[in-house]
Amino acid sequence: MSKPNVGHPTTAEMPISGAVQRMIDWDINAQAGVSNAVQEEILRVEGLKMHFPVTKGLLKRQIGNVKAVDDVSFFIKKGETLGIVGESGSGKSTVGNCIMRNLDITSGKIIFDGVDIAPMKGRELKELSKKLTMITQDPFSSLDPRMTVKDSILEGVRIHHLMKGEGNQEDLTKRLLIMVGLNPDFSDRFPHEFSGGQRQRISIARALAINPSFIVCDEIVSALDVSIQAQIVALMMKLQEKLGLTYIFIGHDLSVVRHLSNQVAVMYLGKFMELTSSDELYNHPLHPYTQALISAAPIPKPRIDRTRVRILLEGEVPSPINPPKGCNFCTRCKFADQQCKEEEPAFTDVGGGHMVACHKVTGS
Amino acid sequence: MGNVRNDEVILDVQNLKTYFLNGTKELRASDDLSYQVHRGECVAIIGESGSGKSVSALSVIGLIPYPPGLIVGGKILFHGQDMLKMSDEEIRDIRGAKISMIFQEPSTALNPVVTVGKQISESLRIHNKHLSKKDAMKRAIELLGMVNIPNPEERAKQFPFEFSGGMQQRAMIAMALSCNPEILICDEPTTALDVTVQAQVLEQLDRLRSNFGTALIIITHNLGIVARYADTVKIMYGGKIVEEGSPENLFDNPNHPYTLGLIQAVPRLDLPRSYGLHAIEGEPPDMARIVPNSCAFAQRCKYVTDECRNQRPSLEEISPGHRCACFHVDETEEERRNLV
Repeated sequence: MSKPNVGHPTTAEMPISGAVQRMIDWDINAQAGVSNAVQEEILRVEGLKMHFPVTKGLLKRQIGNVKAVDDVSFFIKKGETLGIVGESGSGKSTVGNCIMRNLDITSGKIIFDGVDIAPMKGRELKELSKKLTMITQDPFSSLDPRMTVKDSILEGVRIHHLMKGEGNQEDLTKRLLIMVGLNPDFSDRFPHEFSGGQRQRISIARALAINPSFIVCDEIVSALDVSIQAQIVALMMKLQEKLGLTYIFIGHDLSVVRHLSNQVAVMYLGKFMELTSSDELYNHPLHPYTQALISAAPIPKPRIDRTRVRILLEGEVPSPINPPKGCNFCTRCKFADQQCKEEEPAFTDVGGGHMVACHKVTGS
Repeated sequence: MGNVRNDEVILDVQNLKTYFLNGTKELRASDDLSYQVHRGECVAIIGESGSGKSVSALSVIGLIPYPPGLIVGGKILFHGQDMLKMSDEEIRDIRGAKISMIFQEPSTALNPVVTVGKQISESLRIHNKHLSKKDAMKRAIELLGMVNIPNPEERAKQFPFEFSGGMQQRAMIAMALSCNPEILICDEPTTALDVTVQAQVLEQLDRLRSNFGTALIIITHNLGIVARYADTVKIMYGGKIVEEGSPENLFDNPNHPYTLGLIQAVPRLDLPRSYGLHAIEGEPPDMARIVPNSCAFAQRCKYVTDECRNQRPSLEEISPGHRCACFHVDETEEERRNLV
């Protein structure tokens, strides 16, 4: 432990020892060759449903279901990123938690690396957690305040007995800290000595420690300042390129999610409304909800922003216990007609892998 | 926009110095800060956490906790009268009535065990002792209707938890507006809200400004919302204004390295994905580490020289209404030209 918490340590403050410097060099050389050229499917989700029971009274009588995720299907190729955007309550984090198997799903298939992980239990799940990991939003509550950085990072490694020997573990910690852009000498410090951005870097190092192939990133930059946000986004992209990782990137900020993702899915009330490549989503948004989301997201350029047409959505998101019959979005959609109120639109491909669930798009 | 704005200066902050005393250290949260607010103007103060943006506004309505906070110098002129020389009672008459404020987390700012209507009418009755409870409630319902809350009569009887986040924030706006303030200070008004709700709340604020000529001071870290609504933008870093001007000036022609960095750090929806993101290196400003008499941004700046470390740049006019505090404005020229 060093001096009390006066400000945050900066990387420049501490000289990097020669051995560690060699490790950095080695690290860069060793990682540069990893390519993500193989475009095989790593995850396929089919008809995923996650319903939570709503109970009432002393006897916990079930009076309904919150359909947090309702019939969601998608796939991700190895080394790519799927972004999921949606407002609070849309079920985007629940999708992430289902894939992590933090929840027992209601129905559907989650095929990871060719195996359906949905029915897995106990020992199998523990095995799975070596390959799948998650980084969460709040860097202040996701690290144990009484564990040193090193212990936090190595927790997964120790649980899975991935590496033996104090010296090896020490080396691994230092390498990981360098990889995420922190000073390797910070490994014996405690989380309170770091700023939000630095803590998020520690969370990333912790996720990387078990050498996963798939990471669910749940709102990982939402709590950070603008300039730090860009650093973390850049870091995540660099790590993906070097280590061939696959991400699900969950967020509410369309511009950040789009920047990181190959494919972006727009979620509303537990369902995917639109799913397409990230540039296509901005250039040709088809679903009225996507159009509203894009128009509501401000562009920091007054000349451009003041000339944009802004679609203001009226009202609030309906309760997921009682979603509207027919299309989930029909209560706030200006194009809604009788068909939308009665019949649920199918999630269909309108060409080139551009999926959308809207009667008005697929009908005409 | 802008038609309600006129040249009457209602708030004039001159050389405001708010320091926080932390043991033997003093943190200069607002260091020699000056700005003016005109009637009906929308002033945006942009900064990261720890830049002193909230302190600069909290000082105005006397909400700096003492200790450790202390306003050590400067003037805050409201209609020409120095608020720092006023008694607590005089300030209380202004705060909430003439200068009002809304906060970031509407769910924590509202009292959870009092109905929304009662909370609004309470604030009305504090500033107008002759108002009967009944009339105050009537006015509260009117205000809720004004901020587009459906069924205001029913909603006024409900508790905050029955409101969604966007509605809570609109209830806060209704409360802040109860006495027709001349200035409304909004501290991160939309940070906790979803994008579509954020748009609703901002349109609401803008409508109030054009209808009643209320001046807005918006404190935020979101460059995007500023681009559309603000008349004047101040960029703060380490307790100081580093650049100020109209949004057109700042976004199309940023001069300060920090402004340049900030603009390039925000991912843009209108550009293809291949267009890169440029992060500003280093950590957000830490007041304890900023050397007085140096440029606050020197630790993270790529144009930094010894001059920046030993001397504090003052705000110099670049073009009418556009001022920037940097020794190396000429050198940022190339980066500026490459902005998309």
